[in-house]
Amino acid sequence: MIGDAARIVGDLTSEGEIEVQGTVEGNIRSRRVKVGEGGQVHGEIVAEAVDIHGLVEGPVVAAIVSVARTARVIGHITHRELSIEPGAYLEGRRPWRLHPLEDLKRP
Amino acid sequence: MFNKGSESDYSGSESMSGPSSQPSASKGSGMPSIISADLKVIGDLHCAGDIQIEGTVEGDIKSQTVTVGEGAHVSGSVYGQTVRVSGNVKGQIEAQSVTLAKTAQVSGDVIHETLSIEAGAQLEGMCRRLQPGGKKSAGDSKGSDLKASPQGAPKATATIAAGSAKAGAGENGAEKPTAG
Repeated sequence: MIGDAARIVGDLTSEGEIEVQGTVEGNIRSRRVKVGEGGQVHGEIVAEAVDIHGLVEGPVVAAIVSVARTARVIGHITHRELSIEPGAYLEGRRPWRLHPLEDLKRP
Repeated sequence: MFNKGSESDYSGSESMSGPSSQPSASKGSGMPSIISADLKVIGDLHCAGDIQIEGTVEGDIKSQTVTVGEGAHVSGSVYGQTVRVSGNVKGQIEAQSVTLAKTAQVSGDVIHETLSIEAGAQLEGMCRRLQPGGKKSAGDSKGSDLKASPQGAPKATATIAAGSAKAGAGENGAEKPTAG
């Protein structure tokens, strides 16, 4: 959990879940990632499941991606399952992959 | 249409709160940030509120309150108002109030106004007292004697009793021969 007062400049790696309410300037690799409404990620997110309510500036690669109405994503979203709530702001392509994470490992 | 049910494939995952222990009481406006045990951060952390480290941080930490949990590893400097260490810190600690719990392993200098070291804590490095105004104490040169000791010297094991011990640089210089 990265609280709203926190700012991380660098990369985060986790086997579990990361919830970002603050600011991360760097890449995130985790099983699950949630970017809260006030959260900001400037970097790449690679995870099995990503739930975005805040700002993401950078590519997102995940099997399951949920983009909420409050979200703002500037970057490509590589996904297998994508859901976008009306009101979400998306800039970038959203390519579909059967195995987005495996494809990432062997480009 | 849009709901969290779509993530149910990952039923094996833990709840968002994670396995980490209860966060310390928040003094800042926001919620405390927790770097849980399975999280590794390579980079610097800045936090206006409280931060609790249970995982690994390779970088500097600046925050109001910093708690380094028992299994945590920090390689970098730690700056804060209040710093409590129960885990492993390799780097300098600078804070008004520094507490080293009995499980703490610190290699690096500790710059403090108030220092408390529980029996059992391992501290390799010198302790310097910060004057309440923010200036480092005049006895700095004495403190540096600790650092001058050879690298192969045994680890100094703090023997200051639990509780709040106000250690100045001068006191530490005198304490060193008996420690370890």
